[in-house]
Amino acid sequence: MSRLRAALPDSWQQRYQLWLDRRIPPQKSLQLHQRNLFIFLSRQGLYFLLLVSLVWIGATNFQNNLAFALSFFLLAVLLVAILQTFANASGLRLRFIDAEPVFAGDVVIARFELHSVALHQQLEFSWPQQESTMATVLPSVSQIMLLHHKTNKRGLLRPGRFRMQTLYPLGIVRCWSWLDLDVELLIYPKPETADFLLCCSGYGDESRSEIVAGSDEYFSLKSYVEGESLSRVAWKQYAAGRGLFVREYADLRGGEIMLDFSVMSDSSIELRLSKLCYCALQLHEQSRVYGLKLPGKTVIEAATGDQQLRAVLTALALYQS
Amino acid sequence: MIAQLSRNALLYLLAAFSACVLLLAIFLPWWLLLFAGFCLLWRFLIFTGRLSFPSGWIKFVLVVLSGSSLFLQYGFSISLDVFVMMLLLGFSLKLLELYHRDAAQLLLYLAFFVLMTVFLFEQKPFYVLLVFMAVVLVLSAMVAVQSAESTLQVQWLQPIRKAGFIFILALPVMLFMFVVMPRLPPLWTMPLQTKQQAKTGMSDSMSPGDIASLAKSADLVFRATFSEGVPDRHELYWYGLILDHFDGVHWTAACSDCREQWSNTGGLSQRNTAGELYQVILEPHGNKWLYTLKPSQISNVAVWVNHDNIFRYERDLNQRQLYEAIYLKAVSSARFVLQDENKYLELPDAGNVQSRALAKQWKNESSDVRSVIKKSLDFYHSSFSYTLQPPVLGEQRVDDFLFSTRSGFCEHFASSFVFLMRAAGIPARVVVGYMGGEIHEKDKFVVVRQYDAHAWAEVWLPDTGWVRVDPTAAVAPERIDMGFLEAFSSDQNFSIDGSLAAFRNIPFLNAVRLQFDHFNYLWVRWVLGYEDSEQQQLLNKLGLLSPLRIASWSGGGVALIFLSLCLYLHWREWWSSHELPATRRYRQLCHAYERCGIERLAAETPLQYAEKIAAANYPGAEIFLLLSQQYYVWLYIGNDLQAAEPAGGFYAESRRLYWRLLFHAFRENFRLVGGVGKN
Repeated sequence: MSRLRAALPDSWQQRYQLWLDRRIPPQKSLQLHQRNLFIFLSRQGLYFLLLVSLVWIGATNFQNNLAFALSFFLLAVLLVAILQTFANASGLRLRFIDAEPVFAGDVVIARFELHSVALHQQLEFSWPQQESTMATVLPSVSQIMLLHHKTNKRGLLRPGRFRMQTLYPLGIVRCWSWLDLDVELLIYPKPETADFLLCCSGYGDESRSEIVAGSDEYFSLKSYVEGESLSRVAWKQYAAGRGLFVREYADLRGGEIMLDFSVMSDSSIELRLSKLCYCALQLHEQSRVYGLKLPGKTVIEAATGDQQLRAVLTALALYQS
Repeated sequence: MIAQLSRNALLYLLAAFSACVLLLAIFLPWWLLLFAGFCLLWRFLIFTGRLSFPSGWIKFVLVVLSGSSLFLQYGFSISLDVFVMMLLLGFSLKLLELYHRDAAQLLLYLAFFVLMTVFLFEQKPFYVLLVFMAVVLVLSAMVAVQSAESTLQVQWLQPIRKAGFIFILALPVMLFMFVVMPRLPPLWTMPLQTKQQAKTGMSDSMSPGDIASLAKSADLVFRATFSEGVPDRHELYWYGLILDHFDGVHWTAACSDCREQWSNTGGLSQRNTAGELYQVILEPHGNKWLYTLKPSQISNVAVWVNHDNIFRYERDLNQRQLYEAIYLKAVSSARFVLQDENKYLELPDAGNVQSRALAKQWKNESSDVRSVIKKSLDFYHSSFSYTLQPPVLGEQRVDDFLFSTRSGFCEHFASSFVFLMRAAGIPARVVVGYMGGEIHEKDKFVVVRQYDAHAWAEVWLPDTGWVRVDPTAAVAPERIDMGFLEAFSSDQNFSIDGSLAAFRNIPFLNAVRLQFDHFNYLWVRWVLGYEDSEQQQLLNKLGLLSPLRIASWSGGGVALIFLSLCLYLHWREWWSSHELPATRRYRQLCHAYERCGIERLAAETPLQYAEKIAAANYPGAEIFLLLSQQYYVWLYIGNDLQAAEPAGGFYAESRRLYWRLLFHAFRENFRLVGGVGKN
């Protein structure tokens, strides 16, 4: 289908998008029903239709009523499959929750809440050209679905419509929808190695202490959510039978510093932002007190902690974007 | 997404495949069964982890081995059974490299096709039930292929439950289509089986011993249902073939395929002819012969008929065939002219001298034809006996039979009788077919089995034409009066191969047998034999005559069923309140305002919309603003979709506002209409 759509001229595609916007307007939360779901035979469904006609031809050639009955039965199954596949998608409510900001170049993971009063099996979600996620929603149990999107530049990423599709139960009918849940994903600049002494307009004496880049120590475990990277899974704990956990890394140090965009010598704005990003991360890692000055009126007072890092990185991400 | 086959799906797939193979087991050669079992076992061992997937050269060897065995057995012949075997071979081999979801799906389609072919070989009700159970199994394998790996929440039995549900929903649609969908004539023909299994049944020649061997078989030949009750047993001579050429041993039809003798009835003929309507469901026997009472007229299908009132079907009967005929009681025999008199007087040049002399003697002693016939029948009656184990005859068959052994079966009597008649100068011929049958008076039908096979004679009388004479009746009247089984039930040497008829002396079992027969009859009559003509009748009753009407009806019917299922689904969804009550209330309010002319844009949040309404100074704007705030807080800030209700009297307040808006809209409309009226 998507290949077919790609072959259409641009003006048609635009018209299609406009039509889609009218039909399924962007919403924070929505429910799937007959007005925003599309349904048609899948490729396997076309083969199935071929099978039905072969059985019918066999029945006709041998004038066999039971073979006729079978061909009619298969046709009836096709009709039922249309309803069943529709029912498998219809009634599902979706809501965008949030996404943990990532650095440009990483994969951002958006969290959605799925909820329904009925059972929905094997729903596949994906943004165009992105990795897809399978989900099965149990009745009356809210479920978190994680949707991946690759990133390449900082700023506010609006990935637009993602596709929900399901082939369940027979794989011969495809029910799908293009949904826009007003998703906005914050992407921090990609960190570039830099010496923070060259990026700040004032700092304390103890700032030249040793810098540790990363650590093998982790200080907390949080439970695994479907779709998260397997590289951070704490396999030791899993092997011990305690369940799936993800390691969270952190280091605690001390310090105080004011990062400044204007003192930097690099020509490119993006490079400067990337370096500032790196410095902020480093300082945060050492638990130093630091702030940020950007051209214009943006000034973040010196402070420390997770919230500070978030504020600084957000300011860097959104600068002039 | 990697389309790997889940473990659960694989188990379902293997089960479905085994079911298909087992259903076809009796039609398959032993080595193919063995091969399929071998592949199944291998795949299962891969599944349990005890074996790995076969390497390329092992697969190559398997392909060559199985392909060449198939070729050695069947060569280049293309018939359906060979085709099915090829499918099954491919299926088995594909199992050994199956791990892909799409491939599994296609294999399951093949399984459906294979199940269809089972129907071509076997149509008994019990078997059909088994096949449909296998169909459910294949469907559940399809569901399993599409399902996630079973977990605690999604159980491994779920696919079969789902498939059962689909089956139940699809069944009424199927029945509807079965009844109304028009059938087409065959597009092309393909032999069902390469080697036609030697079936017991009539052949196109008769020699002593042929019919006696049929007497051992209780296979069903046909069933005939009469609309006004079964005629007297003495009338039930079912004509099959007329044999008019004798070479000393065999009787054959001299001109069985001469085209000029046969004319096509062209199908539906007028039914107004006086006579009794009967309907025959003929089991496939591989030839074109149709069995009818004489004289009859076949009315519902196009058949060939000759001037001896013998019927032939257009094709070889490899399928069960239903035909309707009228048994004409009053025959309007216009002219009694025998065209080829010599053909019916022809005898071998020499041999059987004694018999010829006897016939001459009768002829000289008698004044007319009838007394010659009477003399010969008296001769049979006086000194012959009826037996299934006739003594061996020598070179001079007719002489040996008439003057030394004097005991035989119907074909001996018919054969020798016609010989005598011809020798006496009376045109005569042998007829083979069936006589009598098991009569079910109450249900007005007759079941004719192979052991009812019979041979009799026809002689030509100048004033009445061909007349039936049955010399067997002169020897063993009980064969004609009571039927074959009764005539021989006391015979020590007599036994019938594998038949329920053996139980006919035990009343209870006999009753069960009759019930079973009746059910079988209904099955054959209404399911297997459901035909165009009946469909036409049914549709006519419903007032559907033109093809357009039929098409629109069947299309409309399917659409109607589909629509009602849709509605059911919609209704179920509504009641399970996928749309939460608060959302519904809010949407209704927005609709009401939209009707008043304030459109809600797609991007507007509830608060923005409420502000817009407040700015336009619409009635109830303040309350709507308040409600929108509550709704907004509930929807976006209360973080759980399940929180059922927004805070503080939302429902009561919104209902009141809704009615107020409706009233407002009504008044506005009224004013507008009034205004137009004034102008």
